Amino acid sequence: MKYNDIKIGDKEKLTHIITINDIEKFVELTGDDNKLHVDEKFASKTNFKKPVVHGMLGASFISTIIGTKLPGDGALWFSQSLDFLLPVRIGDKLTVVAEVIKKNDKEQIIELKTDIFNQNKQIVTRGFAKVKVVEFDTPVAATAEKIKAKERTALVIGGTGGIGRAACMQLAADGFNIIIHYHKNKKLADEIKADVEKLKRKAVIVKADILNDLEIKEMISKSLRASEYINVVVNCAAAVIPNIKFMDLEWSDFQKQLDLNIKAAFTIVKEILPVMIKNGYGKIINLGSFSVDKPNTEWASYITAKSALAGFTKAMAIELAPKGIRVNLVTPSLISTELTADIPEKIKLLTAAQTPLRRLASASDAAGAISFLASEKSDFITGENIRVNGGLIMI
Amino acid sequence: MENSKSQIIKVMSAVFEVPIESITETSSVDSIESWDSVKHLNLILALEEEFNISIPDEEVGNLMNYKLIEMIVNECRK
Repeated sequence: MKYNDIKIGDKEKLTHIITINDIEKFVELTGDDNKLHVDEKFASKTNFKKPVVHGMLGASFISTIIGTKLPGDGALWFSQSLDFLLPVRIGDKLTVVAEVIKKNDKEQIIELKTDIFNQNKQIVTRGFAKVKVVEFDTPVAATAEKIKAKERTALVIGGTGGIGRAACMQLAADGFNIIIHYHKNKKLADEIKADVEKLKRKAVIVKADILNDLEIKEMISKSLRASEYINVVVNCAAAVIPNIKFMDLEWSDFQKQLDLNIKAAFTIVKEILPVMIKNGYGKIINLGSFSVDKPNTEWASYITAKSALAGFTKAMAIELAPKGIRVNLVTPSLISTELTADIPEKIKLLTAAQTPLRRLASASDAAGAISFLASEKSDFITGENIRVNGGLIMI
Repeated sequence: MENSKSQIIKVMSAVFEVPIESITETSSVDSIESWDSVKHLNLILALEEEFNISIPDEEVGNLMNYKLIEMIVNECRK
């Protein structure tokens, strides 16, 4: 925490159950093998009857709370008073509480009340700490700047699909190097790679069945060998949407869609996150479906999975935002691609006629929104859903 | 099919009171200024009479342009 973010009354706590292993480690580290702490027979002959845990062992957790929580990184702990009021035993559950009681703005010093309680809410150690809060640059912004200055790379999952291909080309035109994921169509992946290279950007193709966790892991590993600065992941993977009447649906139909839309997205994000967190910057862009807002019949499994993806996007957005990672959704209306080839012509004509801008969406419309979300122009946008639908659905 | 095309254009021209040559495959509620809600109902009645068909209620609102009219009329004639 930065000094200005800390207020009097701010409080943090942590709990720890003392084990025999803790005592052994403490003795090994400090050499303090006082029999009162380690010898049951000896302890039984004293007023304490049972071994007493080293006072400084419990107190050492004050260091943890100051060093990691209040104020955390940048804490310079320079004073501590301690009164050991009650003995602590093996098996006791200690709760260490630190509370800011005073601030010195000139010196940027905070004073903390540091009390340790046992499981019976009895105070076992009382103390006061003084900590200087050392200023430091925000690593997120610093690293993000570095990444912006270096080569940017986008991994496009489902890069050979209609939207995926348009996204690859748009992002390459925007200055990104492209890692093109494909599953079956290597010829098309090679073609897109060549097109990207014509734009003087680097391109790599990676193959994976994204329903297979191991293949995802290998794909991400290969991608990271190609570029350690993958700062954009576009998740365009899709399969033909099955038309199944509700009474004919099996749970396995839902499972297939959930695996494709949620499990695969989850695994991909889990694999790429450590790099984005390390870089302090990242953009994850998922593809939603207009059918979530405007459902149609016989698509229950698909609509359910895409709805879950919308929720997953928001959940990731709120949790990853402090780490500099933005997660958003692009939701185009009906696009004439290979994926929608089975949709009757009449539905396409009707959708175009009902759309205020009087046409179907195109893959490049979706790519335009992806391009915006991948760029620094959208750095303050996360958890958002950009509907690319010509006004068909307004929320 | 070509016959139904000229029949539809004739009906649209008569209902919307515009020259036959102004109706094309791209004509729609956006391009024909006189296409209002009353004329839309007249269009339904005229198409039903011309082709001796009954246009289902759920399709009434879908007749938004020439291509959709042609598609729905042909479906009703089957």
